[in-house]
Amino acid sequence: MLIDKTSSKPGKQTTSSGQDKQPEQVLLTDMDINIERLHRFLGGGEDVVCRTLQHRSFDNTRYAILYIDGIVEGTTINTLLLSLLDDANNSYTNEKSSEGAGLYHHLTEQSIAIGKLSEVSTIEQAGYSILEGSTVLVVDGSLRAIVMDTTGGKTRAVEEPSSQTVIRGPKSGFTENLRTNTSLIRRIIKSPDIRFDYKMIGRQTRTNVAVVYLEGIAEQEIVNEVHRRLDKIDIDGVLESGYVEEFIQDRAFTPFPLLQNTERPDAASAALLEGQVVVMVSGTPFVLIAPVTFAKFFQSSEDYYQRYDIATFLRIIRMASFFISMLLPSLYIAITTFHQEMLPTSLLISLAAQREGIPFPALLEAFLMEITFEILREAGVRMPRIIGPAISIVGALVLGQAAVQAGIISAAMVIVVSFTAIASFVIPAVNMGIAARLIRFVLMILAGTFGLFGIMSGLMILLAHLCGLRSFGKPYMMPFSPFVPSNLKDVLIRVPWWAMRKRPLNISNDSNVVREGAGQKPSPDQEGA
Amino acid sequence: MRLRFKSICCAMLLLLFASLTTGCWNRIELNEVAITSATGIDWDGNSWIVSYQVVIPAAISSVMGGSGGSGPKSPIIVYSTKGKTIRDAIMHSYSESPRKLFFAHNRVVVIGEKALQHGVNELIDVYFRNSSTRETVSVLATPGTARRILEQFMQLQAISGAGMKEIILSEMKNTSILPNIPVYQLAMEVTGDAKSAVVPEIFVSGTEDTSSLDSFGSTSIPSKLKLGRLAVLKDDKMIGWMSRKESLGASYLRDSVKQSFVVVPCEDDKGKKGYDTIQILKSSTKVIPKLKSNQLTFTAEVDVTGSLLESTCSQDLYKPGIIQLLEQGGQLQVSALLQEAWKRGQQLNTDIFGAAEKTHRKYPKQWKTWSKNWDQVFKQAPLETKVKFRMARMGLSNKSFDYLMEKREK
Repeated sequence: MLIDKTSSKPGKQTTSSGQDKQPEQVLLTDMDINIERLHRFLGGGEDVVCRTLQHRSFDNTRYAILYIDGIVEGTTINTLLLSLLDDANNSYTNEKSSEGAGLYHHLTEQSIAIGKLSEVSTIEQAGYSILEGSTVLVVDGSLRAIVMDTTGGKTRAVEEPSSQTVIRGPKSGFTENLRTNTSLIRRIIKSPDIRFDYKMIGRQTRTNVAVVYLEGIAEQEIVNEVHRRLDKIDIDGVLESGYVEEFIQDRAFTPFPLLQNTERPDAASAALLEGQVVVMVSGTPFVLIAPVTFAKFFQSSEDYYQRYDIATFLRIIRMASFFISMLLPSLYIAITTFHQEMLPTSLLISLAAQREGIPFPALLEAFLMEITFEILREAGVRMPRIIGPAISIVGALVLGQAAVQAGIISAAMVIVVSFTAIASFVIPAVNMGIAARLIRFVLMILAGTFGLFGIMSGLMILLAHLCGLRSFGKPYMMPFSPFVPSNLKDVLIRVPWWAMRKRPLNISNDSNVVREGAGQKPSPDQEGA
Repeated sequence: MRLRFKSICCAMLLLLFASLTTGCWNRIELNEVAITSATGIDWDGNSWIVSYQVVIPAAISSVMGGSGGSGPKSPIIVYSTKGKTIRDAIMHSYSESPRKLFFAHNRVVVIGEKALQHGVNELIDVYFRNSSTRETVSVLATPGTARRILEQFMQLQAISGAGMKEIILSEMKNTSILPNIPVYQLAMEVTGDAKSAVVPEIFVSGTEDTSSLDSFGSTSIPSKLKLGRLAVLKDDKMIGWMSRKESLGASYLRDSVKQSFVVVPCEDDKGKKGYDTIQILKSSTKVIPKLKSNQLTFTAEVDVTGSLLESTCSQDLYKPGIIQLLEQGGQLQVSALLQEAWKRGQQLNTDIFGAAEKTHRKYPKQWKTWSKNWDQVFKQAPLETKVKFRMARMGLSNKSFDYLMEKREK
């Protein structure tokens, strides 16, 4: 599809394969040489299929189709062959002009039962199309070849997203297939303004990447910037959107994600409607969204499907969990080892009672438990599913209960660590949760050395860092710093839909921000009118 | 660029090492502190004896129902150290306790009578100079030694230090006879214009001690900690006690009555005598100095709202006259309390009612002369009482039970 000269925009294409330095081989009139060269180009694998045919009406001119088995749609190939064979046996009396060129035109115009066709004139172009799943038809005596889009083969079906689940909302998720993913977006946004700009990244993998945006709603500057950054990438392979993310994020050294990722078509569409740019990478269900702000990572697509009061409550819970997962262990360490006077007496006595006979200082105790938990969590993700119950038994019983009973870890610390762990999973964006987890360890050390003073200075540095971050040039802490009051409608709270008349300012094209009609607040007066 | 990165890395590394060299310098783990719940101060004639009531957390958790060891363990331990100064005595504790004394959760400081007579200035200095101690600690006086008070167990509260604080707070909230005096208030009163202060008394009622957990094997314990009288201080030294009745009067004059009660004698039509108990729901007092022909007088304007709790007289409370009668009775009672307290204050030669401050504020010019011999001025100043007593509620039944019985008999 990438070399389809008729449909894609010129200039937006890039073949970032700096590899092919040697002059391109043009197709010759001799079909056998062409096929031979194509075979050589493709490395002559067993899965390269070459089917030769002869056309009765055109002096038995030979022609052939080449494709790679498995990455083409089997049924499409069969239909193609049927139509070709059927055509080959027909006799067309009035078209006996010349063999090669005549047959070529006849085939393109009258016989191929494939929707999308294009033509190429070099071995490389033809070869790369075959590698992408297209079928190439070469005709003896023609200097050009027909590329037929037969991409397909076995791909995963559209399933419910496993990483971002909702209770209420669409259940479809992106798949590894770029075409499926673009179609999922197309099915949601049927606007003619939607743009899909394709590129290819990766010398070896030649991964297709689509830049999706709504023209007129997205800021053109940002779209251009996305293109510019994507064009700069020179790498041998792109296996996941994470590869791309690391190349195009604004700053390399930060624990915070500067691009959002989602495997939900509805979330991606919502981003498009707010003027953000979506980058889709073939081979992964996770698409990237840019530019983003810090607050976006605490929003779930479900916030917009549940009623606004519920959504607001859930959002506040998530924000609170973020702070808990970042701060709770360090606060516990700081208060129990430096500021015991801050605790209520009865709580202090019960904590002190639990700490009796614990051999480690609170900092070490917390580190032990936190690292234990991180190992358990990682084991839970990596282990084969069958071993699952074993891990949970060992984790909960042996490490939790036994450690407390043996007097190695205090029960309060187990409570703190478990609560922290649960809180860290509340954050909808996994990468933001991991950021909180990393910062937690730094804050724990600060708390263990300087107490609350350490935590405060750590948070100050963190805040300064956050305020300095940019995502595609847009301030990361946007509605707060710089302060954009109108954007606050959808950050800590979510106001009802009829009150969010404007798209978030400063993210999208600011000359076109109104997204809904005025005065839609439901009221009894409207009934009659 | 690379150089800059390198230098930043170097700086960060150095900073990291710098933070490591400090260690965790004033870090102290929970199992390295001895949580002190009460402190006792005694004076033996030439040195201070400071007693500490230290909580044993492990024993507490077993008392509270955790998995404990064998048999009941005392949740608190009491020990004393001696020194020339209070802090000197506390320093000596390091040579006999495995853990560092931790005073931030100290609830009460109990001062023995002898120490009170010696003076509390030094104690106040200790509290204000050190950040580890809190000025919100309640001060209590005791006629014997403070150590004995600290040694007593209390019912319902494993840590008697915390229990004493709870008693004084609940007493102040419900009957307002004795005020809760935190260290900062004691300091303020001692340094005030009148240089007089009060400290509530706590004592062991009963001859035996309840200093063993064995006592809790039965339904009654041999002795109890009780709040008693009010110790009166003049120039940081104790000069005498005020009875509970005088103390209540003092509470009215100090405007520290939150909730209290009065028992008013009453009489029905047939001359049968009884008592009405009235709960004081609200009370506010203004002590106003007045200068009349070179004679300083004080007027106490008390505004009291009460509710009838109990009535043993056969009265028809629907009649406004009866209510007026009740109000008058209450008025008399409160006035009598005020007068009694005032007289006792004059007798002890201490102005614990804050009269000096009020006079200072109202007559700043004359104060210059009065302040030189305020005790004499105060001693001669009479108190006039204006009590406004208002019955707000009669309770759920308007007629007394006696009255209803009589009616039925008819």
